[in-house]
Amino acid sequence: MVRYGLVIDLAKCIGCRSCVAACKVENMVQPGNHWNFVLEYEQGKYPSVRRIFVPMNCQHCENPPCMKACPAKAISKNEYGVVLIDYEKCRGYRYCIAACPYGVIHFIDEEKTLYPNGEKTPYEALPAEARHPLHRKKPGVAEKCTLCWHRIEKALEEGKKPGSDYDSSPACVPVCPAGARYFGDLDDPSSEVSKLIASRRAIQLKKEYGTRPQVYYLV
Amino acid sequence: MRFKFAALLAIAMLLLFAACAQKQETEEVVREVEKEVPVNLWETAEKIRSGEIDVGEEYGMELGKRWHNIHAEVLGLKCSYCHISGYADDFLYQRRYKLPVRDAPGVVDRAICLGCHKQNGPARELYMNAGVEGAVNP
Repeated sequence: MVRYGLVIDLAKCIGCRSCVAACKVENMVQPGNHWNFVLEYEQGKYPSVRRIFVPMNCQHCENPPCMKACPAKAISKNEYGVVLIDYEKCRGYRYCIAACPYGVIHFIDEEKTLYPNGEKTPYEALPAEARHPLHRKKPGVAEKCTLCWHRIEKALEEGKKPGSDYDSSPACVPVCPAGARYFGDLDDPSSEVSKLIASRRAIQLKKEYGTRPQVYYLV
Repeated sequence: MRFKFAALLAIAMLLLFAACAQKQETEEVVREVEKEVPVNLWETAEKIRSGEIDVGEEYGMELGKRWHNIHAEVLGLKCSYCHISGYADDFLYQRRYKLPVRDAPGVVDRAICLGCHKQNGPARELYMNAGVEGAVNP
């Protein structure tokens, strides 16, 4: 079985937000919402202080509480372990936002454009039918990271191994200048992600919730 | 050999201790809710599920819809029970001094939800029990 996930090396992350910007552009995430964001905190006491950056996005849990909480059954986990929201089914109840222990699901309350004058960018001006179903967001629905499923899906259709090149990886992965992000099949022991998890100290966030996230952090 | 066995035993005991601590913590949360709420949680949850207690048809987070009808009206939870003033010292989750999400109407620590929405808890199961081996990070 294939189970795609991310491994993020916190020792390498420099907090540049390239992943945040790439995600915004790739998925046309509207201003105010973030499918990908970076938390930061300080460790230690002056003068021995260290700044730690923790990139956050949907953890694509094996037991997603958002999926269980959704009264409209709009959230599903596909055969590759990616948790996705169906915008056609979503009724904007926001139960998923309340249930997610990671705070990574956002609600689109009104349509906003990336241009500050309210004008639509060429991509935003595209009719919904011309876009990938995962980019047919509309006001009144919840949105979150899709692990760039549109890219993975395309790679699979073309017979490529997801994660093998720029276009078949989630947008946040290849743009990282520090090479802190890794994408691959967690169930394949020969994949880079599995090897990293096995060889380094890898943690999952909020394990006590039993969500079993598919995003690992190397510390 | 003896050292290895001792180390394994120590790790197993640590994991068991962590799982017990977690269980105790969630039980404490349920006890706290029970103290706060003058109703039997299990009985009330069952009545909500069966429709005996009317919590409305309309789903949604707004006041007057099911979510707040259940938690605030039926269970009688005060606002401050869920909407806490700030996060605990939990840096890996959220910045303590700045909300990265604009959708949160005040800080809500999901540990409060975990008390009842855990596996085999009184409310609808949202979170699984991590189990002995999964409760803590290595």
